[in-house]
Amino acid sequence: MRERPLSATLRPTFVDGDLRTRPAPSSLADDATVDELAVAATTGDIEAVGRLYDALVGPIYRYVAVRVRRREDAEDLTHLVFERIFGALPRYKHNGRPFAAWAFRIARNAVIDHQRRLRPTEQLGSIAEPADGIGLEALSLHGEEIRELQAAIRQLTPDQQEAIALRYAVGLSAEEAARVMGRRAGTIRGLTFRAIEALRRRLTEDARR
Amino acid sequence: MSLFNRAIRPPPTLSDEAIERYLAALHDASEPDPLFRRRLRSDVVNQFVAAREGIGRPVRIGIGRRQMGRVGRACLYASFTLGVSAASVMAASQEALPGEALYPLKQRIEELRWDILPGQLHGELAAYALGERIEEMARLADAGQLDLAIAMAPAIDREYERLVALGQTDDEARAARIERHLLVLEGLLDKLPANAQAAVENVIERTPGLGQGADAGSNPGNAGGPGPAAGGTGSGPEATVKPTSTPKPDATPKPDPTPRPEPTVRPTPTPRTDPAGRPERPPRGPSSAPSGSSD
Repeated sequence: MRERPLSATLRPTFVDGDLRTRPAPSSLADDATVDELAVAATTGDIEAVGRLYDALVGPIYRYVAVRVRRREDAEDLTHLVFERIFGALPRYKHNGRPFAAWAFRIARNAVIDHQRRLRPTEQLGSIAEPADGIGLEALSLHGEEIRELQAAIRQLTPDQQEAIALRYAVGLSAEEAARVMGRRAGTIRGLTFRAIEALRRRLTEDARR
Repeated sequence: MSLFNRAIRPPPTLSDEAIERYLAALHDASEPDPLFRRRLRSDVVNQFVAAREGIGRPVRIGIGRRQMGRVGRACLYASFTLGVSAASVMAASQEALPGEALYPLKQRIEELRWDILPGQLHGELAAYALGERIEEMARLADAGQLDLAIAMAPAIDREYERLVALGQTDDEARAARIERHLLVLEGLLDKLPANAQAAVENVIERTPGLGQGADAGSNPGNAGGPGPAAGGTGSGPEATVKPTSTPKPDATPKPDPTPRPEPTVRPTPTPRTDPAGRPERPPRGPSSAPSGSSD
């Protein structure tokens, strides 16, 4: 399987996280890294806040959208995540870890809380029901495939779901996903491998029906 | 073909390319809606600016709004409707007159205010209640419901007793308000039958200042209202206010229920001495306006 590197999804300098000191927030370069934007945003630079949002909203939304069932929930959770991210931004201290990993941990905790809240009302068998919406109308040609895939993903274990979401919906590498999940990269690779095998089995069964 | 072949052939499995195509579609399908993206961007930036400027957190329009289920929303709407209905009924009850369905609610609300508000506001409440009773009596008399208007006389007497007992007649603003009420009472004297006139005169007579004025005029029914008001217009508002706050050195501690020639007021908790050394003001009445303006 071809890995989708994070640099292809976000920005070329997203992963390296090397912090170049810049004297004034207004002097941000066009190719500023996410970490640079985050540091500038902590000083109150509004432009940095907007650009930081632009860099993170797609990956975070995709991660959340794969983990929850409904588009409304994905939007609400994304809103909540950004509220928490920018609410905590004045207290953010760059200590060498990528800002995106910190942001994804917030997203991960929000998803976990959401699933914990929904669990008592989840009905048995509802996993196999078609999900109603991660941009399905945008891909009408592949709508059925997307539904099958989502139904198959929801039958994975929570860790496997998270690994698939981080690596294929967001595009993180195994090392980056490991930072978000608090695991080792080898563990993430194993989770991904088993998740793909499980998906292959389930999608094959669906194709034979 | 079918059964035999399927039994001996391994089941077909999706290739890596097929799985990759699935996952790539998952990536592409889970893009945020552009409208949501723009709206969230403005929310985030506005929230950040508000927090930076110390304005405070704006109202969250995110997950909390949609997490409320149907039952929660129904409860919310029901409580809102109930609250609006209760507020409407309470507001309507404030205009109720004796004999109407909402009048007991009005009385309960007044009692509730008396119980929950601190003691230093009880004087205001007593003055308000006295004004309400007098206004109710006036409205009943205007409506021709004389029986109910007559029945209001003891309530007015009772409210005035409570006000005096609280020692709230000394304050000039309150005294002016009481005086206005009493002028309404004087105006009512012509409309009420004789037995009600006696009760109203009793209240007027026991009121400091106005009672004396009524005595001085020797005909409260004729003097009712226009006399003091006319004096007030000629000499400014103080003319109708100050006499009621005149300290009464001969005030008796407990008023006698029978009419007395001399106005009786319970001594206030803090007997006033005029700090400016002003002479005792003359009794208020039609002839008191010039002296009132000399203060």
